[in-house]
Amino acid sequence: MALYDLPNMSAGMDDALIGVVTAVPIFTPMFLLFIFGVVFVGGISSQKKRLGNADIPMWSVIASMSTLMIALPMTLRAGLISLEILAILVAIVLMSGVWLFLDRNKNEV
Amino acid sequence: MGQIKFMTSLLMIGIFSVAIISFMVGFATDNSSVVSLADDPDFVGFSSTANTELGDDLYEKTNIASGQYQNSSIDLGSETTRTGQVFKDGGFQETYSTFKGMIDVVNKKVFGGKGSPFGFVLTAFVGFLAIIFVMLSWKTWKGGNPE
Repeated sequence: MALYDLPNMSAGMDDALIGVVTAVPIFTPMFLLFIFGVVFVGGISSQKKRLGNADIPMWSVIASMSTLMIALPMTLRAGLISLEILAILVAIVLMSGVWLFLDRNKNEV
Repeated sequence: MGQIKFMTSLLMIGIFSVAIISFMVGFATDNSSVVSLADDPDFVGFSSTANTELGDDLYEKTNIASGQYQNSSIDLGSETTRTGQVFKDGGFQETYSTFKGMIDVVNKKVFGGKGSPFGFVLTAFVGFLAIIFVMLSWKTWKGGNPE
């Protein structure tokens, strides 16, 4: 037995994605969280290898803005991302900005 | 954190917030997005208020504070660092107000705002931030080094 009905791929990639999101609503937040995590953890570890220490607030801003850029095309079609998720994403970007600008350490931005 | 970095940080936080929100609203308008941040009254309200505070009020207050400084004089033997009035009048209230407005919006969006089940943890966290913030503000206004 299938976990959910497979989306119709003949109508295009975006329709298939909307079908996935309709069947599994947590897909979009988890996908965006994955993007955030990859940039955040990857950036921190690579900078630590390069400099010996990592500027975590800076990578928080870069990761959240990268996630926001990924989320932007999702707003063009109905059903991919909700206004609540988008608002939370913007709020996280703003909080990351507060963290970066009030950080006392010297950073690379 | 010195006074210049502190004021710059507050101003940059405000400008950064307005820039991000304006970009999101502009993108949605230009591309006729189905999901638009312009439909969120909290973000739109904050952005509009911050625009007025940072774009108009801050400029006006800074000019007034600058005039106060230009016209001031120090008498012989007087206390030369008795007040941080120029700092206080020079737009600090606007930058602080913008910062607080942004925190309120983030609080509402991420944690549900006042009265949410997560309220007591958030209240403790925000209270801690407020203590540090007020202490930094007071020391900077007083003219001391806010360390």
